[in-house]
Amino acid sequence: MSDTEIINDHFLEGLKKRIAESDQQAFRILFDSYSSKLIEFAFSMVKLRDAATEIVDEVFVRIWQQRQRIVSIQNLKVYLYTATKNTALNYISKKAKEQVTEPFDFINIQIRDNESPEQQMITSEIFKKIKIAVNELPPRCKMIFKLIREDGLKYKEVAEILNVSVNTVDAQMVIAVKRISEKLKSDFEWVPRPSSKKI
Amino acid sequence: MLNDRIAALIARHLSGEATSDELRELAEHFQVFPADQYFEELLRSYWNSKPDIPAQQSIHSDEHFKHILELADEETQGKVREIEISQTLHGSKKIRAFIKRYSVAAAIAGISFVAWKFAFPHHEVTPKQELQNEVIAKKGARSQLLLPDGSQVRLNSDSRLVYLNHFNDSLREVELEGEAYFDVVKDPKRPFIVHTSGIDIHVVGTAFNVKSYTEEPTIETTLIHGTIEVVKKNQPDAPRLILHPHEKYIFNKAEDRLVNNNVAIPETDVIKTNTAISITALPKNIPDTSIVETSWIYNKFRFEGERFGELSIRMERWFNVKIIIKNDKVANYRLRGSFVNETIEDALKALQLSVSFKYTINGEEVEIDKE
Repeated sequence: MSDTEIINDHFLEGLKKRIAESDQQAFRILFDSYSSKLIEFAFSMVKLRDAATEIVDEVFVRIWQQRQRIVSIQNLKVYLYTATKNTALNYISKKAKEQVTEPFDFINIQIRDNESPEQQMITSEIFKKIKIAVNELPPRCKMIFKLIREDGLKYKEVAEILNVSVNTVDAQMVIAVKRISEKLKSDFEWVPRPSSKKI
Repeated sequence: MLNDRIAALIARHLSGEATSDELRELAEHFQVFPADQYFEELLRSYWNSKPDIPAQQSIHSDEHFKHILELADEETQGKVREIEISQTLHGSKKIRAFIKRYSVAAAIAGISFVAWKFAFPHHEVTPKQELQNEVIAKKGARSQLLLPDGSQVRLNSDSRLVYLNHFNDSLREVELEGEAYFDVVKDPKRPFIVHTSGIDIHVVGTAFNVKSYTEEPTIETTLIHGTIEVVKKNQPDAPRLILHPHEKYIFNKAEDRLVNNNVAIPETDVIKTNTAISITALPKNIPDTSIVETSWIYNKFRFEGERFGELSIRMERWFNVKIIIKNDKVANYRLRGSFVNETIEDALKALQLSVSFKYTINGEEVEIDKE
């Protein structure tokens, strides 16, 4: 399926044990598998490449320093995202010289858009419309949509990372899908709809 | 227009969350509403078109990875000494055995790791169950931080606050050495506990000050608003003392004797007494900025009739200096006043206006003697 599945949960368990035994190779696998994704995640919040990289470095530095404790982390994937989120929020708080407590209501979330010019040429009008709709989603909704689509995370994982309920994730996905469908309305209205009078 | 149910099913379908019943429901819906199926197909082609996250370039990745290992080593030497200790004491295999045993014990007792860790005084030689965050304000500095739940903490000079990464879950616990002012976000479902060496403070949502320096004989907590409960460490069955706003709880670490009214608050009464514990009321109608216990938050260094000898310990932390008072009579002078943003020299000059002594400053060392 998606690229996130390269590391499945079972494999991650094994990695955890090896990392706890100071196996640098195992740590390297973890780093290579997640650092780019986490940098993207941090970047969506801080919007500075260097800062996003530093934030993720800090997360991995802490993991390696405290590797003996890594076995007690239940879901390492969720942990990585949560630690990245917290570090990024700290960074934003410091920069803004004020506390950022309910971040996703105020932070503008950046959706990845790193297609080559060629790819952009062949992107259809419909895709463009969808992209606009996604970009116009409210921040929290956009973040949830992004994590599920781009990072292939489960609803439950996103709920844990963002500290919301699974129902909230579900409801936010409903909002996202509905907003996109509104944007595309004109493109599929020609498809016959059954008359509403029919039972 | 899509209704909520269908939008939810489409989202679950795309993200692989749909159950087989839900997939059937969606298929049935599509039979009647082909337009919705067309929409889902459009959305799916967008969904699957996600730009690949650039894989770490191998050369860059090599260097980057090395850099992280180096950073981890550098910091480990200074900051995370505790882990080193546990490493040398047990070796990593034994540590994992510990963790396993703890997790079983925790499951049986129905308590979290966090509670376990704090409940036992010897935790410094056992491995930490969770990754923790440590914030330190050095001598001469004060620091401010925001906990993951939004609670605010100000750390006074020479203080250390530790909280776990799991801080947010069901119990909010921090460990304090030194002095801190807490403004805790209300959340009855997740009690907030401050652990010190002698007492634990249970909070629901409130603002209060805690002073627990290793070198001082007492641990004090002063409540500004809200309610807190104080429990003596290692005595979970002992009755909890409830503190009301503008009351101060003093715990004498050394022995079971009643602590004298703190001279810093002259007009106070002892309300309740309990061996090593006393509770005093702060003078009423004084703004927080002027109360000795909380003035530091406003960058004010305030003292109300303390002996110069006691005051000098606080001044050492505040100004990051070492103060030696050579004369007993000078050390016994009682002083009152406040400093705001002064240097140590300004402060000493100001004190000379009310009592007589002479001082010499040698870098970070201050010598005080009679004139």
